[in-house]
Amino acid sequence: MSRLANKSSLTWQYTVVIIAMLLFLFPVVWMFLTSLKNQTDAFTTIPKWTFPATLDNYKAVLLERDFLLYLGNSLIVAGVSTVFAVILGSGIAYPYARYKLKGAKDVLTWILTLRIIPPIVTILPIYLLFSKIGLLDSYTGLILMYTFMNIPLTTWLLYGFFKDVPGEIEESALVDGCNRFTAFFRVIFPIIGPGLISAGLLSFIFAWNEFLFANILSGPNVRTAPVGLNEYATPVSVLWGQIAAAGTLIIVPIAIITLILQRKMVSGLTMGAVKG
Amino acid sequence: MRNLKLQRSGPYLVMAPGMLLLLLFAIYPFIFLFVISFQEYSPIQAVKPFIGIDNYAQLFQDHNFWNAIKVTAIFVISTVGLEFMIGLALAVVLNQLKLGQRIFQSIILIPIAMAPTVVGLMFRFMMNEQYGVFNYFVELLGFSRTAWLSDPQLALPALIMTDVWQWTPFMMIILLAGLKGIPDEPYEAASIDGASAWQSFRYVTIPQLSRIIFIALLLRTIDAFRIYDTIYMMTKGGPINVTSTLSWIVYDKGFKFLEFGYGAAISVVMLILVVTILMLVLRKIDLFETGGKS
Repeated sequence: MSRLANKSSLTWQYTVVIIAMLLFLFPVVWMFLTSLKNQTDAFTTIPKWTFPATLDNYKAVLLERDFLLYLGNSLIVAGVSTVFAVILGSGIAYPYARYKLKGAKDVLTWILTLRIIPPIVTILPIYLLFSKIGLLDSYTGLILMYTFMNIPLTTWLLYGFFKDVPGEIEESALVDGCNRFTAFFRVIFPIIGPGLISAGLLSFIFAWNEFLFANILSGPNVRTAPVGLNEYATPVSVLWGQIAAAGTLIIVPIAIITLILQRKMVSGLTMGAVKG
Repeated sequence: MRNLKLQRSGPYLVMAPGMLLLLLFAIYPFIFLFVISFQEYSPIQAVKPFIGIDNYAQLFQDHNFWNAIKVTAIFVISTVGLEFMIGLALAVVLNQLKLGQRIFQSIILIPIAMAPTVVGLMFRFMMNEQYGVFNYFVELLGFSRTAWLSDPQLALPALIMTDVWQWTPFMMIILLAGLKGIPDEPYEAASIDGASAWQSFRYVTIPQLSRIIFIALLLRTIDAFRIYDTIYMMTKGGPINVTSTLSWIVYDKGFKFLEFGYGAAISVVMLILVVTILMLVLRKIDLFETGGKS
């Protein structure tokens, strides 16, 4: 009897999970399929599930248009800002985790609130500042912006990792003749490697997907991929096939990172408030 | 002696560059916003007259502003509410699976990784009246095709649906992490006492999970408040203004109509709103269990 009940609840559970999975997966699959369709197959009233696949949309996006350039811009901006965010973030996190510094709690809370403020609120002043000092539509401008955007995340995440490193390890390295810097790079660095990697990858994801700052602060020179994507949706016509192809190109690298990183994702997304 | 001084200031030297950047990007905008919110400030005008509280006075009479407050409230409450309920249900079910849990979890996580711009455009495509795949399913269910995003009744629900699709997995993964952290003993005790499945969920799971539920709700509320990308891609605040949130009207006033002073006034009010909500909430809980050592 109880085994029967178990079996039926098991069926029920798998049904729920599989339906959920299909619902969450469907739009992604649909986008991918659309990216492989030609114009006539993409715009049918009754959706076509089988069709002759074509790479024309990808060709159009990558070769005839500038999307490859935009992907490159995104890579540069997200990559460089990630490196800065991790370095500057560990610069803040390490001293607070290691030493008893005055006002540690207040400073760390303040850094956290920076994350909480809606970005739309900061964009007006930053836009005016950047236009005054000539940083609009430049790599430097966007990199600075994204570094600022991600420092709260890296600081909080790395603070958690640094705190878990026992102080004795560092002490013994100092006794063995290391100075503070070599102790940090030779001893601490390898231990918190996983923390640095997940902080870095999450920063990268946020910068890569970011749209508001990029849309307002970048122009024809430094257009990032999410902004470039919008080019295919003009008031006159919307090139859905090309949008689907470009969209797929934007999400593939991030989807791969997410699959690798998913365990670290939780603590990163909650800035360490929930252990993953 | 000199060496000692260097040792003392060492930690501060290390953190200086990051802190400088944070200060520059955080303090300057707020002072600036505050100042120009009392001006008639437009980037194309040379003169920026001081107009006192006119922007604020205008704001409180502007029906677009009150509409934005209403739209933001509806959006935040319904997305966060739905995401929480669906996310919790999925987390509970997923937590009980013995086989394939990891795989299901990985697949359900994919929406989180997607750029909101891509999600917005894809949903707009799927919701198209003639060739949108949504309408195909709608028709299969016996309803007629609808132009979701240009219907004033349906545009906001469509936006909410899109957000729920993208962020329910986020709720789920956090709550799942919380569920995994609950020890077995309280459940065993409950089952000895003859508690039903619902009772042990209500009286064991929920209380044990309360801190994590709280954090999940808080994080999603903060993010829902700032929605911009999806609106930009899907509705641009329309039709009429049924999807104009606070974030959207700041952008609209500032960058479309170039009324920076007015946009700044809205920003200041928005900021006060967010900070007030946050203070009320943070007083209740030590969110990050910080400062254990210090």
